[in-house]
Amino acid sequence: MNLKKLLLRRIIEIFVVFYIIMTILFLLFHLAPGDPVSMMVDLTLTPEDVALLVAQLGLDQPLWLQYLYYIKNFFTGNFGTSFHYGRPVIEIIGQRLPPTLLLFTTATVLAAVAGIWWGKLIAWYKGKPVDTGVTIFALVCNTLFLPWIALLFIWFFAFRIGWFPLSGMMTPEIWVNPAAGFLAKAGDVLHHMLLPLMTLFVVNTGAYLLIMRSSMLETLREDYILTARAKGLTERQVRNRHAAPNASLPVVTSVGLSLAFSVNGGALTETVFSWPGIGRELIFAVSNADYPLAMASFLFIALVVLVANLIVDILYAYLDPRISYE
Amino acid sequence: MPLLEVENLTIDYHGRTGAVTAVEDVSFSLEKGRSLGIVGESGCGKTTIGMALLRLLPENGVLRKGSIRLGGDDVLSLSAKELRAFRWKRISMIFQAAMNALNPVHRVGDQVMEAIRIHHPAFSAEKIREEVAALFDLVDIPEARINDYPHQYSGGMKQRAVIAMALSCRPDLVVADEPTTALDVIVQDQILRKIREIQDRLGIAGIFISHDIGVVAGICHDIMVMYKGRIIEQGCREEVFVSPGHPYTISLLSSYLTIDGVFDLHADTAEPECIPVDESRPGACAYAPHCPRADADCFVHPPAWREKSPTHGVLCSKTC
Amino acid sequence: MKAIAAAGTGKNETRSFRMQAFLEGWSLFYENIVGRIGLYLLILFGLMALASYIPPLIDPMYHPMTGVDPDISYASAPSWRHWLGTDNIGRDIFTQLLTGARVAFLVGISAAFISIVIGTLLGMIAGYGGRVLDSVLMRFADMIMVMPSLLVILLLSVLFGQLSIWIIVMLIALFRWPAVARVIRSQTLSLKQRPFIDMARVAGASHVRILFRHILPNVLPMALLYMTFRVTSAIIVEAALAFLGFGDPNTVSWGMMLQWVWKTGHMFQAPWWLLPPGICISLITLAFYMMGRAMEEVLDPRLRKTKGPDYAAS
Repeated sequence: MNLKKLLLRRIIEIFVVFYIIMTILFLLFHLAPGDPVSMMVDLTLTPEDVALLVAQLGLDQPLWLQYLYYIKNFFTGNFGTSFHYGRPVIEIIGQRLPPTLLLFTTATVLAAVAGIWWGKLIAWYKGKPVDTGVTIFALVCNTLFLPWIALLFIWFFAFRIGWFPLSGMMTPEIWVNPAAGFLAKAGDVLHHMLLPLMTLFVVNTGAYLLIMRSSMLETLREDYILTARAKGLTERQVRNRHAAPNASLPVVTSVGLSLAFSVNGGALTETVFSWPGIGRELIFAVSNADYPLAMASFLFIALVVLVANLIVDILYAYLDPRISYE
Repeated sequence: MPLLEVENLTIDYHGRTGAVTAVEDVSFSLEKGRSLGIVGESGCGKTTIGMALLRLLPENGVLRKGSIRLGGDDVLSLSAKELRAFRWKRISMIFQAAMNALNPVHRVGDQVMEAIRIHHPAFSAEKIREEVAALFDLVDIPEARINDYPHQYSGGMKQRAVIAMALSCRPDLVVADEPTTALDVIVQDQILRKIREIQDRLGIAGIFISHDIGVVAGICHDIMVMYKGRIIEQGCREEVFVSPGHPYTISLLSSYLTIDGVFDLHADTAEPECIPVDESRPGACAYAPHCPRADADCFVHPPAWREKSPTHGVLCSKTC
Repeated sequence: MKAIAAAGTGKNETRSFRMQAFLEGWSLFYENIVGRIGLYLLILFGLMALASYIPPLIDPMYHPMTGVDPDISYASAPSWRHWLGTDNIGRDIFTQLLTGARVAFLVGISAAFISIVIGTLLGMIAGYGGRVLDSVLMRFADMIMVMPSLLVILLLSVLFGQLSIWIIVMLIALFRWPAVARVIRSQTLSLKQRPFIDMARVAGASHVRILFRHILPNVLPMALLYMTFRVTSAIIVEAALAFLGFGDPNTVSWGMMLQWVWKTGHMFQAPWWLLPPGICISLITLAFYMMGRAMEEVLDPRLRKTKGPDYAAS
């Protein structure tokens, strides 16, 4: 019951936050010096088409009405037409979102699970040389400049030893071949995904590992750990059953807090690997002054982050009975 | 033969700045079914003794000297495996700040079951559940609350759950370290009575560690007073209370207010002027700077252990 | 006891007490291998930034942006003339690398400083100003915190057209204060409960005076600590922007060097060009991060190695 209430509150919060973000973007783009029409409509089209689009998007109306149109357009999925592709923005977003979700979700889950697992193990060796070594290694991985390590990986794993494709998400020959089954296609995507995944994994895992390690060390000083030891549990049982579930809670929180940061990394990874995701699309759109596409891409990325935060919150409540049970 | 025999126990803590002796030359014994109270201010080493009995000293705590025997077994020479079987089954513990002694992410009942399951691997799940239900009944927690999480319990209930857990494997000895400090006075009294009642019923020996001589007074057969890592007075309850031999005990007792004023024994307990300890003479009595009885001799020579009766001893050279 | 004595006998003893605290903190910091490595690395980068002024004086072809080796018009491998080789139009990579250190320090420290000032002020106001102000400010901070800052800055760059280095610094600062504000706020909240704040209030001190005279000095160490972490993220964001082609075209930064090697398709042919900038970005962020962690251990006694009991496998 409490969990439901919590969920409801968080969903409302997300709506409010998203609405505020939308409003701020609107204000920035409509009040900034320059012609807002030029930002929303491709002026290289014929004057009739421009007039049509302006009317369609409500750009000829007073500001407050434009604002209402803007909100309405968002909820009806009308984001205008991409200058570059000449297609409705929503269509492009619809294509770009799934690859991003696939890569981003997999990378985040893998990094968090591995970070928790390894952080737990390394806390056993506190103060030993291996602890110092792993700590420094994790710090180094955590601060590696992501685009650079991505380039290095491409250079080594794809170019030098040729284990993985250089870029993209699928091999055209497989996808146009009607004989190729689901497994072949899935295998192909996985083959393309491994290198970007590895990049994100290397950069993101270190942080979670370090948090888990220190959280473990903190938890091991709790009284209930002493109780568990006194009960005659083996050291392994003490750590796995009593310390780790509590120690991983702060890691879950930090996964939520670092989601925004991981999205930055995700966009960079997509760009370097030409992964056809929404982060790459945003960067591409900004470079090409394709404003409708850029705006919409950003709003959807923001939405993804907010929803991912919600999922992390639910997970936390599930892991910590103090929140889910009243 | 006594159940528990502790001899010449000496424990050091190693820190950044060097070693500190937390417990020095402590010896005592305890018969089956009796209870012993250890009293002293915080930092006097009483908790360290409790931890040492279960071999739960922190990493930087070193047992330098001494022996601990329980029912004839040498606790200090147990192997890791034997030690695990020994803990909780032979000696269990009610920890200081029992509020935090329950793991917040596990159900209370599961935590009690866990203890039984470890020490009785042959028990069926059903049998363990029955045991736990009986234990919760013993400490007056309704059966419906067994599957609750700790945060759903009140402070007193948590405390009783911890007691149930401590009794779950029918140990020979329960060490209770400040079992009631975090509770309000009324609950405190209930809990103490409960512990005592169960202890009598099951014939379990108990060690009660407290800074509050009042807590210990009501439930223990024997009292041991500690100061700066040493036992300064030891005896059965009546002896210590009626004719305390050490000035520190006297000051403890006089700060323990009772309605009938029985313990308002001596007038000479006013805090004396501070005399700096002569650091060059480590043998001097540690209490001398605060002692109303101290004379120049106390700052130079170590205090001597005096037997006031066969069961009552005092670490003080001055007779009064 | 010590604090009372210091307060009683005036300024000199306060100072020596502070000095002593500082020295103790320093020795703790220096004992920490992570902090020491960070410090050495930073000194190295500082020297690089200083040395960046030298090569253009030797020969104009060593100018990082405009200097082109007249004899080379391709990406050449390291040689005596060009220690780290040249880029595809004959510019010296070593010089660019040195200049990059200067830009990294400039961007990192100024962006971090601005975000620390904003974060500390807003954090103190939120913590001190009562419930309504607190929740409004913190909600706002939360909102900024869930936004991917790199992408927001990218989107906003549309409004500015070409980004200059100072606009980049401002934008980074604007999106990086919330974490600082949160920490400072919670510190302020706990300070507010302390008797000396009440005493100041009773003595008639104004809110501004209480904030700046009594609270600020106490939260300052934490703010400084966070500054090291902000430097890290500022450098990364700037490098990423430059890598994506949104850097200031008038400066050479490490991120921009990576963009050049990537966009000109030399990443597979010119390791001398690909490796150094990436190593530098990674190492300088690592250095600040390590410093920060070591400082954290000094400031927060709970993190210290020799603290409290720690139970070994028995």
